[in-house]
Amino acid sequence: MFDIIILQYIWWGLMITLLIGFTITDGFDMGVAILLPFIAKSDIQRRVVINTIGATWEGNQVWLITAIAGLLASFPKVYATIFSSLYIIAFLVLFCLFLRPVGFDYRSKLTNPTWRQCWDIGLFIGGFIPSFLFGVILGNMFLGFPFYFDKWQVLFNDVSFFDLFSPFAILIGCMSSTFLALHGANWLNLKADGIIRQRARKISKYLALLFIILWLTGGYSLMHINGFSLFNNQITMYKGAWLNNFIQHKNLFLFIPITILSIMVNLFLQKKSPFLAWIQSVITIFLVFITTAIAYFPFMLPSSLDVSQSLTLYNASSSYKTLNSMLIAVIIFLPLILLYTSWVYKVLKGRISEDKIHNSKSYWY
Amino acid sequence: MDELVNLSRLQFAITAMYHFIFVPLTLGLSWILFMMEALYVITNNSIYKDLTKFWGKIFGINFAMGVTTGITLEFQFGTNWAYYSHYVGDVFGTPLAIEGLMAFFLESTFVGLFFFGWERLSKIKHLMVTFLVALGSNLSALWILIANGWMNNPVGAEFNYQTLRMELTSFSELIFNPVAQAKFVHTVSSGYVTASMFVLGISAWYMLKNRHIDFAKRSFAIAAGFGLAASLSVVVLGDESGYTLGEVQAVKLAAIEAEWHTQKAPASFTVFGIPNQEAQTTDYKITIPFALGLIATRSIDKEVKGLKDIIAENKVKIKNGMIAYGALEKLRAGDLSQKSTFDAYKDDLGYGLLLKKYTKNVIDATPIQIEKASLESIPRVAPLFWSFRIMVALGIWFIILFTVSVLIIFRSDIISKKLWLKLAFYSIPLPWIAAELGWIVAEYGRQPWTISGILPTYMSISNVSIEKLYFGIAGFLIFYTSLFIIEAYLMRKTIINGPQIS
Repeated sequence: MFDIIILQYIWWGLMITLLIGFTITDGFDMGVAILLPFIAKSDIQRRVVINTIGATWEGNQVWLITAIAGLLASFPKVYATIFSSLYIIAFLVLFCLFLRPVGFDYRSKLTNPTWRQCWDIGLFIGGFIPSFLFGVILGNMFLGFPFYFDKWQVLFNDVSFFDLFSPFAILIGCMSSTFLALHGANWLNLKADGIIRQRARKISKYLALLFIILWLTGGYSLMHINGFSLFNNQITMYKGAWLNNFIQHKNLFLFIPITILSIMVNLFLQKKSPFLAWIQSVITIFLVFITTAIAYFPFMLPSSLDVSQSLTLYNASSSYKTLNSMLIAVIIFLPLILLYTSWVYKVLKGRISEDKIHNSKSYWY
Repeated sequence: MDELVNLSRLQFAITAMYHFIFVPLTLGLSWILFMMEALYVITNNSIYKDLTKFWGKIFGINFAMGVTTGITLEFQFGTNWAYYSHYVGDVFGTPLAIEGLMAFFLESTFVGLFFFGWERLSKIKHLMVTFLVALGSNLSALWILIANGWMNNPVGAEFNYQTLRMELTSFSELIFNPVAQAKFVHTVSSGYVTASMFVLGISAWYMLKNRHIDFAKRSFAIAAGFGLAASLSVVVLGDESGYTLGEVQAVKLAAIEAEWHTQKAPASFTVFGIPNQEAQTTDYKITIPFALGLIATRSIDKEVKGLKDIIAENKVKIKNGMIAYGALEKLRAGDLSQKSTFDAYKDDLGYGLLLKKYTKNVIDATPIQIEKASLESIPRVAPLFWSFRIMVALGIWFIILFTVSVLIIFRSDIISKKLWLKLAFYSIPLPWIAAELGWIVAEYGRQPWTISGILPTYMSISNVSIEKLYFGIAGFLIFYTSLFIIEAYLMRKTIINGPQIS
């Protein structure tokens, strides 16, 4: 049906789409968890916050699981390189993710306050550390990993754990957590009630400002770090190369002020229409990802050890048949997923208030 | 290098077997919940709602751990098996991604509504939610077993010498792989047995303690019926798996049966014995004549190939593989005249790769190395022999237990059947033991391959430092032990507190 190169473009785009899906959904789960210790001071307030995401977080996490499986299927070398090179970070993310399902399900099953406090910290860790580390991973994807494949396609990498935490990577890590916390605050503004809503709006202003500063600093840094560029089948590495796509199509620079504007509109809408404010936050997510993708295109993982080994969407994909079969699967199931997911959210419509949890005999975490 | 391979294998074994503590209960209990809730919707008797809610609580505690431990496996293909991911990701990744799209989204999206939706949904709609959770979980098993089935019988794919990897050639062959089909129905049945035993045993415990008698009797009845059907099906489908092995994975069948020689058909079945790998014989054998031939080949004249013959065949394949490897090297260096040689021997390339364990260059392997590789081209027999027999013995016990349980539910004095109720209670851990032994048979029986006949385990790992393995294994031991203790504590507390009867 299609040429393989079209499928490669589509799958590069689909990978980003799956990550956007993850950020829109599990992004606010992690964001709410990050805010949990700060925005909720009493046990009942904590329960309100937890229950805004309690029923739907597990379905949201599947976006991450599917994105990773999709990566293995569509760009297996990229999957193998990221996970085996970032071994310790991958395991740290995993261990922190462990705290989530048990945190949600087990926390309120016992009344002991120490038990609940511990799980609250666990939920915070489960939101903060993975979101931070995802940013660190993203930062390192721009810096490039030191890896190469030998002539038998055996992967060699020279990644040292501490090297992964360069100032730029830490900056992007902080940016990532801040961004998800802001998205979480927008969700709390929509689903929580009373004092939690108020605090969510208040903290949004600080988070928005912090995010914009970190994001612009990150973009500015791209001017000064060694970036990678693909031109005429040759990959080269030089300072500022990551901004090439913008420089060649100067209109794309507009994404930067548009994103900032989107954040402003988001804050403006929070009091008047929490739902539209959340939608605006979703739009901001699209804008941030698109801006990042423009800079990164067409790379998937550059090698700082040997630039010719860099993985791009052209040289690292699966076979035609795999990309095609998987595309058909996505076309069939993605709309279905969006359909029944929105139905579930519709059934769960309404705010979570302290009264609801106190008075109701129905199920709450 | 050997230590790296062994630790990578150990880590995968620990994490996979740990994941499979929680999966079978999810697979079966989700359907049991559906049945209980269907009875509620049909009869409007609130006792069935109480059943659904109580067993649903148990389900939730278990489901959480199932998801958690599943993510580990998805990460691990990349962290510890990078060469495997490159070499077969094109084929293997496809069912995994579809598992996410079709199954994980379904079960995880609706599981929240199962707990949170009682007051918001009509009876029928909530029942549908329960159905979708069960469907999602079971579809998940389908896709992962298609992937695992492909590891054991790699159909529908071909080696591409330019990209040095296996590539998908037929999606329908991948999903209709007979090994995958047999594995799927057998594995979900084992999940149904596990869940039924769990419900049966705990219901028995309540009856022994004279608590919630009406509740317990109904749980017991549902579990007994479902369990009987499931245990019959797991044995029948296990037999189907064995028969399929004879066709496509003869070495695993031979190893399970400690079939060293190719006996005259129909072969006898070894019930008991101590397999001796070095001597290639089984000591202290007790056999049943004709039984193996009849069961494994379903005929009286087809032979079950013995390990000695397989080893001899593999030796030839290894030598062919060396030729293929040599041709491949030259082909990759640009010498296209090697293509016809390569094509002639490429089916045995994997066997040539077995030599990588002894010499990097493969083509310079000495006769001693070739002999060693041939002997190691089969798995270790004793663990398989015994795992299989214990699993089957347990399977027979399950049929007996569920049959008697079905018979006694029609008696009004069921709570006085104390011995039987105790047997039911103490049998709770047995399906788990059977299931884990089954996985040992399946995975250990595939060694020395990760992809049968294509990719040796030895080559499949990631090139990482040994410290990383220590870090990962230590982390899993700490986290998994702690989480298990917490989960067991919560389960026990929930069971002791008992159901809320409305």
